[in-house]
Formats: sequence, C-alpha cells, structure tokens
Amino acid sequence: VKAVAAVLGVAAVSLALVAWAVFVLGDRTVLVPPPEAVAEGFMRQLQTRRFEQARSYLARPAVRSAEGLRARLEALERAVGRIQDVRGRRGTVGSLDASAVADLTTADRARAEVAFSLRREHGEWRIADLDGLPLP
Amino acid sequence: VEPGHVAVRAVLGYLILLALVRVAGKRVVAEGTPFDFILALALGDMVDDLLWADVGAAKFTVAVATLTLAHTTVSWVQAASPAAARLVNLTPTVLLKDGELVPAGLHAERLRDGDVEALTRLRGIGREAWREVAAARLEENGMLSALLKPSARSAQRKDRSRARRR
Repeated sequence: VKAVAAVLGVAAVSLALVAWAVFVLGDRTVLVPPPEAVAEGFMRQLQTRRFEQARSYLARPAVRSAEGLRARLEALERAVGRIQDVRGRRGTVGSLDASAVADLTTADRARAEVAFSLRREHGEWRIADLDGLPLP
Repeated sequence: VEPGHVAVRAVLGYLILLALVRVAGKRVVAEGTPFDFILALALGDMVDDLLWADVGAAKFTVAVATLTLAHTTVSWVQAASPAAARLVNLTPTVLLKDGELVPAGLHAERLRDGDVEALTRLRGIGREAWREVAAARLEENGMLSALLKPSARSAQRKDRSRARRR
C-alpha cells in the first residue's frame, strides 16, 4: 500500500510541476507539444486516414465529423496528389494564438503546404480552423 | 525541434521515470518476469513520445504513472494473496529431476535437451554432473535454478562438527 501511495504522490507532484510551468510560467512550447508538432500530428493522422484521432487535435468550435475530415483530405489530395510525408514548421507563437505550417511531400515528390491557425485550450495548442484545407 | 527543448523534456522524463521506478520497487527491471520487461519497454517507448513532443508532459506523466500504479497494485495483490499470485504469475517448470530430463517440462517450454545443457552449464553444472542435481527449474524470470542432492553439496560447518563428533 505504501508503494501505491508513493506512486500516486510522485504523479501528483510531477503534474503539479508541469501545471505550474504551463499555467503560471506560461510555457507554450517545451512541456506541451509546440504548434508545429500539433500541425504535423494532425496532418499525419489525416494522411493515415485516422480521422477520429485527428479530431482530437481540433479546438472546440472547429471539431468536425470524421466524414467531414475525410472529405477535406480527399479534396486536398485531388489538388496536390497523394501525401507521402509531413513536416511541421513553426509560424508565430503568441500567448493564446499561434500559427504553423504543415509541409507536405506527395508521392510524385511534389511539395505543398497547409497553413493552420491554433488556439490554446487548457494549456495545449489546438487547431482553431481548417481554412488551410480545401473545401470538398 | 529545438535541442534545448529536447534536453529539458529528456531530463524531465528521466526524473519522473527515476522517481516512479524507485518508489515502485526493484522488480520493474532487475531479474524481473517477462511482464516486468514488457512494462520497462512500454515506459521507454513513452519517453520517446515525450522527447519529440508528440505528447505533452502532463499526458506522459499520467500514462507512465498509470502503468506503474497498475503494476505496483498487481504486485501488492499477488504478494498478499497466493491465489492471485497463481493467476498472475507464470509457474516454474521442472526440467531436470534426479539427474534425468523431464520430457513434459521440455515440451511445455519448447526446449531441446541441448538448451537444458546450455542452461545448466551457465550455472556451472556440466552434463556429467546432472546426476548430482535433485531438481532444476526454469523460474518465471526465465533463469534456471538448480538444487543439488545433499551428497553433492559442499560441506558446511555443522557437517564438519558432526564428522568430528563421530
């Protein structure tokens, strides 16, 4: 029982330290995934057709259905070709808003980019809108 | 990815894991069971996600603490209840009894007699010395334990004093 309590204690102290760094010191890129990592992660989920997982990267008002995300990806791939690789690139980082770009490489080695604006929700960056993705 | 940020995340992940493994007990890695080994691998994989900022430090902490907590709770329950221990643990398999191979044990562990020979050799027991082995078991951590017959054990102080009395 002592070991169980000790594990809980270590977890509580660690979470408190992380919360202090994020909410009091205002960390936005070290202990939380930075905007470019969020943009890259979101595009990788779309690229691998994991639309439900992709939804978890979106801010509240931007949350779309998995079908909506599929339609957006298909429209993008019709425009640029099948996506083979994704790299995130940082844009601007403010206290509550940020921007990032996902650099795409397609199957025929063409390059394209998708820009995202992000918003902080509960200390973490979320994609605020999908304006960078073409409409179906 | 900024090197300084990677360094901060690496130190944080290291410290959290160090603290958790320390309070969870020694079993997590050293001479552990196959499941202890799997847990250690899973924890290592989570550090990778933290290093490259695929997950935040809070989610990393929750994930590693939850796994460690589950493991610690199971260890505690099996220490308290033999029935739970039987359910959770692998059981040792007897490979040698009275110097003879136990075919059922070899079959259960998918071993050949050459494998048993290698395992006993690692314990300093050559094939010619098998006749001195009362029992050899493959323990749940994958190590071989061997119990020698009384005649083969080295003399202890009480044996010497018994001999002197005679």
